[in-house]
Amino acid sequence: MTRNDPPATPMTGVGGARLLHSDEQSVACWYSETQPAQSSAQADVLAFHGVVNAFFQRGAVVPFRFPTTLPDAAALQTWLAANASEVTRELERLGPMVQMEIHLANPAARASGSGREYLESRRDAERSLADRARLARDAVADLAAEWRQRETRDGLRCYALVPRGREQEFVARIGALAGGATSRVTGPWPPAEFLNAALTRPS
Amino acid sequence: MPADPQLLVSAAAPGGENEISLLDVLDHVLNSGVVIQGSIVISIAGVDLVYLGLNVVLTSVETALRTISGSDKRHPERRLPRR
Repeated sequence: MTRNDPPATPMTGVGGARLLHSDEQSVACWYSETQPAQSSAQADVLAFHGVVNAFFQRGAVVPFRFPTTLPDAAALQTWLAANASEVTRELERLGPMVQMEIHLANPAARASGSGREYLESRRDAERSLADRARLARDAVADLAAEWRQRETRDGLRCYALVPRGREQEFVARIGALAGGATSRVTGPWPPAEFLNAALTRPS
Repeated sequence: MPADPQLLVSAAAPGGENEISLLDVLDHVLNSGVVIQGSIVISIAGVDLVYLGLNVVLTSVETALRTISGSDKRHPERRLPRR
């Protein structure tokens, strides 16, 4: 894209509100003023995602969880002043990286049989998930700077921190694994799963 | 046996050529990211969210400048003083 290209960045935020920003050190904090019930929650989520994605496609971004709301701009500036150093570290650390995800679905449990058979089936399914996650991790060991995984209601979610530009290689390696038919890869996403816990779980 | 997985790779918004589902977006937007203690979040019956105040995104100034330079003339307005 050149400077003469049509705009690719949504310069409006949630609820169509104008996108504003506040700077602190080397961090630009983007926000919009919102009003209650201006639009649907789904539309707001997509608008928020659109803004985050627009920045993410051009460089490092640390997203807030949606909806993150503060009473006023002064409160935001106060938070930013206190956390700019930590955010700067995370922007520098995660800027060259993207987050790729593997969704591993639970194998279907045997519906018939005794309770014992059902439990055995579930145990086998859990082992299968763990094995597949291990295979996936091994397949991208030299690509993934960090790896995390989390159980979900329908299986296992694996998160890999991968250098920008190597997403397709990641996908190809996972796709070459047996059992891929019940897996799904998405990305690249902002590496929010790898943010310092001090930012995602403030004390 | 060779796999034929459903592979989706996209940074595009839902509806794009390489589609990521709305559920994927919801999962990321609602379940990950920076949390500010004391921010205002009001949910109603798990359906709609009502909120007041500011929604925020953090990025580096460098990234912000690149983003803005690739956009149109509607430059965002600086509303807060530089400290």
